[in-house]
Amino acid sequence: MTFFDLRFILMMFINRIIKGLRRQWMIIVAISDYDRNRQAAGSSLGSWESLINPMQMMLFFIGVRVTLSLLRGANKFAAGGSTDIYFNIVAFMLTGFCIVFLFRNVAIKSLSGLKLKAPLYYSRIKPLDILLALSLNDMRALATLSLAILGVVYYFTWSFQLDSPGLAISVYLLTVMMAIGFGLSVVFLGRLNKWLVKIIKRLMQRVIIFTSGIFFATFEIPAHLRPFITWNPILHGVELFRYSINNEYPIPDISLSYLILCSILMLSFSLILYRTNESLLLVANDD
Amino acid sequence: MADREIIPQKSSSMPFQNFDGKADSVSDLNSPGILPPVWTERLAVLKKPRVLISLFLASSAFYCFVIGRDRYTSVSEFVIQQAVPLNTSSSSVLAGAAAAPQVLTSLVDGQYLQVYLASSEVKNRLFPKPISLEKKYPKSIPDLLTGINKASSAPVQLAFYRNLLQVSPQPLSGSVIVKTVGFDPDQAFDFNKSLLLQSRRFVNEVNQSINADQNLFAQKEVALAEKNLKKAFQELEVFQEKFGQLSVQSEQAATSSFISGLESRVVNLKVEEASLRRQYRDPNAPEVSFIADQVRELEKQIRKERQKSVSETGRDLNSLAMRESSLRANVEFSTESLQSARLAADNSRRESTRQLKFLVMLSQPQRPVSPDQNWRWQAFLGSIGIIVVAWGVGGFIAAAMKKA
Repeated sequence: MTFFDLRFILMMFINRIIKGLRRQWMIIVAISDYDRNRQAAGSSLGSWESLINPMQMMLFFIGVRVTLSLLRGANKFAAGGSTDIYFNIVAFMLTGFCIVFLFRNVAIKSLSGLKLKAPLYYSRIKPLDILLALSLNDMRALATLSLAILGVVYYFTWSFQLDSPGLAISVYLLTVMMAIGFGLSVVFLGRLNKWLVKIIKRLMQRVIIFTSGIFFATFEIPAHLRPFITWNPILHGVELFRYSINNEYPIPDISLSYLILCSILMLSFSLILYRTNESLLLVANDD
Repeated sequence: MADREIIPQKSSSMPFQNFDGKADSVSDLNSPGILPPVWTERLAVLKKPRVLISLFLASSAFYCFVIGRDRYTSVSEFVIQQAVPLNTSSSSVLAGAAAAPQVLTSLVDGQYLQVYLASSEVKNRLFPKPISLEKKYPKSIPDLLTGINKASSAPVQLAFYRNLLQVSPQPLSGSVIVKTVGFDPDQAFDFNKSLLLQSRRFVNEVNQSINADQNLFAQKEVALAEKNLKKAFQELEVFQEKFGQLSVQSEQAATSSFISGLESRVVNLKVEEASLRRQYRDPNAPEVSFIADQVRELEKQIRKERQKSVSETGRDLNSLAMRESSLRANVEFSTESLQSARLAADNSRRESTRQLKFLVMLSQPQRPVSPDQNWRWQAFLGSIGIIVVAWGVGGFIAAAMKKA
């Protein structure tokens, strides 16, 4: 075998990989389009529903935070407390909300099993493709919401700031990876005990929202209490996302390495489980 | 099929024909809006999103990795430390119970420094003439995006100057990180050293000048208090010279005791008069009249003395007493003022020595040996990020609008 033959085989191999990835990507995009159209057809708000629902919830949370601050006796112009030095209250809440809800939505979709089974009629489409397509839609909707609200905040405060755009995008993608990994892992572990899935779903719906830094900043927590919350990788995602917008925002005990490690470990673990228990994803796990 | 054959002939022949039918390919090619089909097809390829994205990424990569000028960075870190009072037990300036307030003080100073170093004052100090900045950081071919244009305006120069430095106070440690950028290693290194000098100047000289101003103010206050005291003493002396050295109050007391002595004598005489009137039948007897005359005279004298002590034409002891007490109060107040001014001046002198702040270097700037590649990757990944976000958000909005 000559050098040219080897090079030809290598090129063929790389070409095959690129073609395969491209085909897979097109499948995911097609399913996400299909799901978006399906949702738009079933809602009075059309495609905007995926944008308006989280926005309603976010406005509710901002209202809660501002009301609590006012009840506590804080100045109405400084409802964010000590975080006001770094962020407008709306921007602060938004940065927490878009990461936590991205994780929550994607993980819950994995946990609940596939509702969208029609594309499985095509043999090329696997359950994981559908899951990735749904995550893609959530990611696009929340990214649109984030940019729109940041744009509005920037417009009113006239202070344009995005210190590390690369970090912001990376945190977004890592959160999606972690959410998919977490959801899939729990689904397969739930095979051992169905109550486990139900308990985790409840925890995610309620507890994680209040412990992932939507309402507070890590630097506001006393140093001796921080270890009780910094185990939560979503908190790292939220704080790093805030840091990417304003590099002066203090992030004690927060590390990108921890977020990367959690995301990669969860995704790898879940993909191993997925290879062996693919059919479990088709079973609905509704409460 | 016939139409298909005719239409291309028309379209291909049209640009090459004038009104008179003569071929004139050059003039028609230059006319706007009319292009030969080959070019139309070629330009149509450019309209495809994939081609546009590839072009954007290729040009971004070309700029970032080929024509972009090398950038060198120099980093230094320091902490602004206040001189520790002698009575504190902490052996290290960075340790112990006094660390937390020190961090806060240093952080606040660092935040002031952040604004100061990026101000036009420092820029003018480092680059006194506008041309000096332009000469040091000129634009160069092929990278025309970096550097500063000749004859640029002051705001443009200030904005460019601000891009060359990054001052970041660290909220947790209180230290300040100064990062400078240059197009060669010396630029970055020298600029960092200059900024450190400016920081030292800000922290020490400005701080000392504030304390010197405070000292000057305190000394002025002492001089004013001394002047007031002198004036008050002079007024009291003049008063005492005019109305005698004796105190008006003691004078008033003496007058009062004199009047009360006369009154007691009047009382005795009245008692004696009453007993004589009982002894003698005639009330006009010489013994009785003698005593009665004495009583009348004494009462007259008492009225006169009283009148004399309070009337304006007399000695007017009341107003004199009031004036004297006011002058004495002035003297006392001035004495106390002088004492407190001297105390404040002494405290200010001591505090100004104690509150001097120092720049403690944690990391000296180093001359960079190789260009910083971070900005290239950051810029290129930023371009990819723009496409990802544009695809994600733009695609979502476009699809939603189409459905709506």
